[in-house]
Amino acid sequence: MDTFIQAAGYIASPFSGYVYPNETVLPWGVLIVIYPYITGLVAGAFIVSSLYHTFGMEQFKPVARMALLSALSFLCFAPVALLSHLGHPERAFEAIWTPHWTSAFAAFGYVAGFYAILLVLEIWFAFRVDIVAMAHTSKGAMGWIYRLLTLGSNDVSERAVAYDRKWTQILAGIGIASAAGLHGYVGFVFGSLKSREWWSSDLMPIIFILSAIVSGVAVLTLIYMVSSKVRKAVIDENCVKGLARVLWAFLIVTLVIEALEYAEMLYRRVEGVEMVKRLIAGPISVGLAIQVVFSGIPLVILTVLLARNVRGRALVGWMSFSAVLLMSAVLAMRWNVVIGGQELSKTAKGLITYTPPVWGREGVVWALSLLSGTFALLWAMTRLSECRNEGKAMSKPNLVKLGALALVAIVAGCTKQVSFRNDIFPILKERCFVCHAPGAPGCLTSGLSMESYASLMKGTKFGPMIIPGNSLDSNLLRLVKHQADPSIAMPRSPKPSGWLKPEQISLIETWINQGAKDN
Amino acid sequence: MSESKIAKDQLGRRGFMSLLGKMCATTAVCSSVAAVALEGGAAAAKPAPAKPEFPAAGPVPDYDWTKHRWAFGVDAERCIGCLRCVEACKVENKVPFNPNDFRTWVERYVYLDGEDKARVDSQSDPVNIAAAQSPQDYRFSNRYRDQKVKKAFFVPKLCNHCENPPCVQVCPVGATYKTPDGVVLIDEKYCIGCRYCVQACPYGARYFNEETQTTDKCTWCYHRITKGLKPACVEVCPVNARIFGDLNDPASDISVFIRTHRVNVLKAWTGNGPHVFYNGIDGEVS
Repeated sequence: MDTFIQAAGYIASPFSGYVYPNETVLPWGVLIVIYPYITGLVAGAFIVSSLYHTFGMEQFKPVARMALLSALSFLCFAPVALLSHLGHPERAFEAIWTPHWTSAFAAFGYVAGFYAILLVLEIWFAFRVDIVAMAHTSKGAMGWIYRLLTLGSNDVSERAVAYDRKWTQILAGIGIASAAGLHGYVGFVFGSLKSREWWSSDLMPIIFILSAIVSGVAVLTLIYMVSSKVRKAVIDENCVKGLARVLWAFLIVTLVIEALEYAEMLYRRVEGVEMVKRLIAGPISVGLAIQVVFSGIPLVILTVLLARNVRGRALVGWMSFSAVLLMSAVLAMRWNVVIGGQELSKTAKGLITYTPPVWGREGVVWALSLLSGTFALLWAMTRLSECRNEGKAMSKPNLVKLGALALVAIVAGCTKQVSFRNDIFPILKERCFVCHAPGAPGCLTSGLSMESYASLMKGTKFGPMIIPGNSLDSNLLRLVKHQADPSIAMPRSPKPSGWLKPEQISLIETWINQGAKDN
Repeated sequence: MSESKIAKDQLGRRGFMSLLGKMCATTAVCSSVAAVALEGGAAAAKPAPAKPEFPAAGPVPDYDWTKHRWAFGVDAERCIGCLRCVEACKVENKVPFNPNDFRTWVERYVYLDGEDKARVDSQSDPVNIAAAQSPQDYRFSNRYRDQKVKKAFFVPKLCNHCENPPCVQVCPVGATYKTPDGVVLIDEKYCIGCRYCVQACPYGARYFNEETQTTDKCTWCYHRITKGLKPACVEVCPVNARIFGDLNDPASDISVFIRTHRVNVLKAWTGNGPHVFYNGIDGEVS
């Protein structure tokens, strides 16, 4: 059955049992997996900075400001994931100008916006002294930027600095509530839907907040380790210990609540529980295994590290390892919730198996680019604030190089160029030439010859078939996708097996979207 | 906030401009019946009251949407699974001809001898697509030919046009709304394409249209019913398995159907108040 679906060129995901026909295309893909993941990192990183700024836990001083910058760079990329998911991103601001208040999405722009302002304010207070210093020492354009950033507040007297600290403390305090609120809200978006058994749960916001904190503390730990290594700075063991304690505590609570969630769902055994069990054993089994194993191992490691008071390189090594595992575990958890929920059919009679595409808007490459983008931005921001850092400042050329490398990697990742000569022309030659070579029947009827780039772009006698950069309006794509009337759909075959393969169609689509160049 | 009030809010925001635009278009087309257009124009030109009630003249000229309460009936005892309704809907509403986008579809429930669970499929099942040979044709393959069938029936499905539609509740911009005559519509010029409504519908009635990059769903052929016609699927049904009409009219097909049958709605536990009434289905249908 699956092979038939694929042979027919359907975009549907394979399914078993009975699912509603419209369900075979998942409304939300990897971007909506990435989105709550990134906002989760924001919440977690922020909480750590608040432990220092609001509660005065001195051991977190080395990471406190880094945490704020991390939170900001994650927060910058979270909306990108959402926007690129929208069918009409140009209308996104309608949700802010004319919100529909009954929607769990409606206040999102405001909540995130409020949080962003709060964060920027707190960063300004926390970094003001450095900005003033940089404004005095930097020359040229950068000097201008720093002078602008001071907002005319150049006073670095003791009184002024104490004032900064007081405001940082207050803002961080409000920030804890907003960070938890923002992420609890994301959980509510899922938990409040009664249509999906897998999501509909009162525990959803709590699980989202807790796992967010785990992933955020983990990513901060990793950033701290890596940046210290790169800067050849000494890693503060007390700080790492503190992070280990926070991580350990939140991890335990998260695991317990998640276990309760599963236990409750399976114990209640309402209608459809059989399908839930099959979902766990089937489509999301790998994701769940990653979630469980990658949280279990760090729990053991952290317990040992804390119980045995491990220090030195062992502490740093094992903590980094745990952090990587936990970040993966939380990412897997997001997948299991977002994708798993949609793989369980609303009919309670079937399952869908979703595999994300590699390329395209909902593709893995774009999602990973967004994730790496957050780190690239963080590099850029740390560069701006490097004058008075907790460790030794990294030399500028190195940072620039790293930042540039990250950017190049992202750009290269996003835009794999499809070549007309190597990718597109062979498909046309194999599948279309029979009728669309000069003098062949299709060419005589429609005037479309595919013998060369020029003739292909010229189109039929009725007009062009390809509009560079716009696959949606390119008739060629409509025809090969068999979205048009059967009498003109191409290639002419009553059976889907005779049509172009989905990967061939997507190549043509990408090529057109990239400008349909003669490359 | 009641759903009708929400719908009213949307009208206030969006309704008048689009109403004016549509009126103008109508005026241009029907220049010969200038009087009608003038009447419509006068209605549109009336100043909006401070708290907008539904204006009697909705987006459609010569149609008072405050005077109707539409509802739909499905008589599963009659349906023969010919799928003409599915085809008619695709053509009438320009639904993409692929096996994952439907405004309406038909499910088949088959109880084989010795089995207590129904086997369910729709026209989108790969076996049925293979039998039809192309996604433009719809056919239920005779896949149970060699087995002993205990009980079997077909169930047409479509948007339930709920009293409290969860899709309308979750739309972040109010692009989908409920009209005063009980129909849930989507403004495709306003939809941002977030697909939250697709998630929120427990019936799988909504799909994301790749061409318009907006959500789409059954409108009960609003463009037809407001002209006194029946929805396309009702029109083509050869056995009257699909019933449509006005609940405000006790003599309408739907009022008679509900009065003379013991009808049921799907997933009543959701509290959505679905307005498609079924006769002849069993508990297995959801």
